[in-house]
Amino acid sequence: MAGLAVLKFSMFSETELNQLYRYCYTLTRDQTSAYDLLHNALEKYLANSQNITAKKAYLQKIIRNLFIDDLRASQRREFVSFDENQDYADFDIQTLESIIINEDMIEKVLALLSPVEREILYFWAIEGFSTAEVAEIMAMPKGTILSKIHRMRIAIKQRFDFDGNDQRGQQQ
Amino acid sequence: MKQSIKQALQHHLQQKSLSGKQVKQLHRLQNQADEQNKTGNKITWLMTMSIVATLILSVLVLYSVVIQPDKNNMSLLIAEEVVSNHLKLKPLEIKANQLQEINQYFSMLDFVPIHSDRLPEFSEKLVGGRYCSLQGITAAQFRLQDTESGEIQTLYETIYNPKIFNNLPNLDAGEEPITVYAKGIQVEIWVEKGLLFAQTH
Repeated sequence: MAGLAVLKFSMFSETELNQLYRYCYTLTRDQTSAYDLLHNALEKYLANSQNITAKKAYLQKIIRNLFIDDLRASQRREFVSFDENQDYADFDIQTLESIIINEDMIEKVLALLSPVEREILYFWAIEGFSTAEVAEIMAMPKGTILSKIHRMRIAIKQRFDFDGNDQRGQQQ
Repeated sequence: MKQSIKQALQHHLQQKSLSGKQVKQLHRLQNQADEQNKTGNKITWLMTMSIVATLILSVLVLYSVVIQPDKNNMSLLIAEEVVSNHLKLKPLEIKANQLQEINQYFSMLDFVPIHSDRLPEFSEKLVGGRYCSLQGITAAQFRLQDTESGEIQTLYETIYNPKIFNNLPNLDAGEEPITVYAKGIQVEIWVEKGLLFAQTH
């Protein structure tokens, strides 16, 4: 019966579950939807979890695929084409570091961004991945990721002033 | 509080956590899957062992029945073949009452038929012989006839190969012949001086 111990999969700890929950939240921007997404993804993972070594990455991939499936079912995603001749240097992922906002405004920032952009932001800010790593995880060309970072930066800067306050809110 | 978007997001998400109830639900989900996994593995293990056991048994049966018939089975096969030919009483190819004379006829054999110590009256009863085979091995078949009762006996002699005939009692080792019955006729089988003997009674 020794073989049974080998086949037994290791479970996700509370810390890991919370990390994954935050990833789900970044995608959905809703706590209930985030939990549902995590629950469904975990079920799918457990149905076929034997012999998986990078379990967190694998579950993250399932979460992402499930979320995209849901998104596609509700709306057609629109990917902006990227001009490959543009200079990427100005909008590498690290350029996001220079954006200063008021902490209270972060929910508004997330609302401003598309799910894909929020995911990029999550992988950069929380997981600490580089542009190339984000591109690999999201299975997108690096140029597409850079394009999205560029648009993200413009959108945030247009909405928030130099002090990180919501300009629309101030106008009101 | 103003801070970089990275710090703001980190701080913001840090405040998002599963409730205790949700954590319990997710752990329960994992525990259930683990139990199902164990049960599934037990079934898989039992099925695997059953298949292995069946295969081993099949190989053993095949080996014992087809490849390596046991001693009694081989003795019976020899007896059945000897009795079958004994009952047919096919015409003799050479009629003679001297072994030396018959052996001259058996020039195609790979061995030389001999007198068995168990058959002191062999020369007195010998009436002739013919080529034959035993379990596919070329053999010499002798016909013996009791001068008083007229009873006919058949004697086979062939090269003894243990790989073909298995272990049979060897007179040279002090063993006694094995007695087997086929179609109601008694047959004695033994090995002597490297030859296999089978005689009807």
